Amino acid sequence: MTASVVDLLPNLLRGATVTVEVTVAAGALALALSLPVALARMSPAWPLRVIGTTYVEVLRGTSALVQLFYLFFILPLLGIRLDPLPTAIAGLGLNFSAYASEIVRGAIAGIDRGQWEAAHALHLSRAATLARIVLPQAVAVMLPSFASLMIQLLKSTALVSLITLSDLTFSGQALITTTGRPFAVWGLVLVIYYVLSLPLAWASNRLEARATAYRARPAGAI
Amino acid sequence: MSTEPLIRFRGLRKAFGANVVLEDFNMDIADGERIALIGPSGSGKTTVLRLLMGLDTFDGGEIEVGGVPLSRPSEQAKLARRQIGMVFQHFNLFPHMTVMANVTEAPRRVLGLSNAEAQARATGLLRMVGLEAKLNALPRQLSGGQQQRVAIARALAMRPRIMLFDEVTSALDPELVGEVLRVVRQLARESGMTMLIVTHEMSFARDVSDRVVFMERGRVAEQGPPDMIFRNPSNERTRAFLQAILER
Repeated sequence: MTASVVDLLPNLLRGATVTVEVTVAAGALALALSLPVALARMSPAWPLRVIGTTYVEVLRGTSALVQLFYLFFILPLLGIRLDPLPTAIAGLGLNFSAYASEIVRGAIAGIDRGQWEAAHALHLSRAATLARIVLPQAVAVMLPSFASLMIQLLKSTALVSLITLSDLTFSGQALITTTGRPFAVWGLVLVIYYVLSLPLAWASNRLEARATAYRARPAGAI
Repeated sequence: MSTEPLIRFRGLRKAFGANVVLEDFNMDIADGERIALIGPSGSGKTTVLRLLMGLDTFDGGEIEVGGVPLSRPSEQAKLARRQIGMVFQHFNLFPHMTVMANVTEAPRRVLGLSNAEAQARATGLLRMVGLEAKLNALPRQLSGGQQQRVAIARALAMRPRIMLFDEVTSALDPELVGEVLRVVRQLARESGMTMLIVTHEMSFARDVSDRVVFMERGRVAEQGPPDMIFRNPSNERTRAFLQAILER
């Protein structure tokens, strides 16, 4: 009668693929939104600054779970009905874009003013300065923070189980109901979450090393 | 026509909060003239360059380049400013780009040069500053003096009519100052560019410039040919300043 660990795995792995899907898609959405939001917050035009700041403050200042509930339960009352998966991706993507934009903003603000001034003295446009001079340097600063944000996102996807999406956590709960083995199931869920985070940690280390290569002075400088 | 100044500062005023840096600053600069701006720190020398370059905005008065006023942003003002290049105290090279990329970036993006044209121009300029062997080096791999020479080549690659040098040797170790001053001297001798040079190197100011301008408290306190200013300053403050520098 008692299922072995091996019997538990297929269900949990099916849930894990949903978790990965949500993480990748919501992460991509958050990263895509982070730059425009950060630029809006740093804009010389005050209306853009107000919009950007409000966006970040509202999304950071309210609970991600409540935001998900809002998208899932309230929007249908207004006639907008989304499936659980798009809801989860949109909800977490928007929520994490607020944090991601702060990382971008901090990294851009951290670039030496002399870089902007040198670009200005060469008559490069603001857009070209950003794209060619500032962002390539800022990305190196952002990457480690982005990686830890993505690991956080991975774990936060557990929230989507509460809007009926069959992610890893949801699958775990379901398995406990059918098998009555909370110890083994939650133990496996923990391990799977951890294993899923490993590639993110590895990728961040690699990217950081590559993006900062120009800072290192190789032995026997040219 | 030819007597019309290339650059004209009229009643220029700049304050940072309560700190008034320039107050009724006036100066005319002829085409091809080489001006050394000297004076105590805080006298507004660097601010003059920064306002001309457009790195800061001014609060009052006017700057004209080729007769075009710069106080209000316009397409004309933008084109007038495009004749200006600047070299900074701290080099401000782009650290993620090779020497070659530092020098070719703006000519390609702003002037629309092809990659080959920009590289040819850069190679020539880097040879002139003695760094043709460092084309593929990153700024971190160069000494301060070498970095500053790259910065000069980078500014020259835009073919400016006016060059601004803001204390270009102040951040350098003493033994590296000479190689940078040599390049600036050579430019002053051979290029015919209009040059504004803020410096604390008095002997350099003396032999590189046609006119020395001594600034104090945001105004021109005294100006004249280098020999006159250095040999026989009429202003008491100029005398005290030069004395203090020479006794260093």
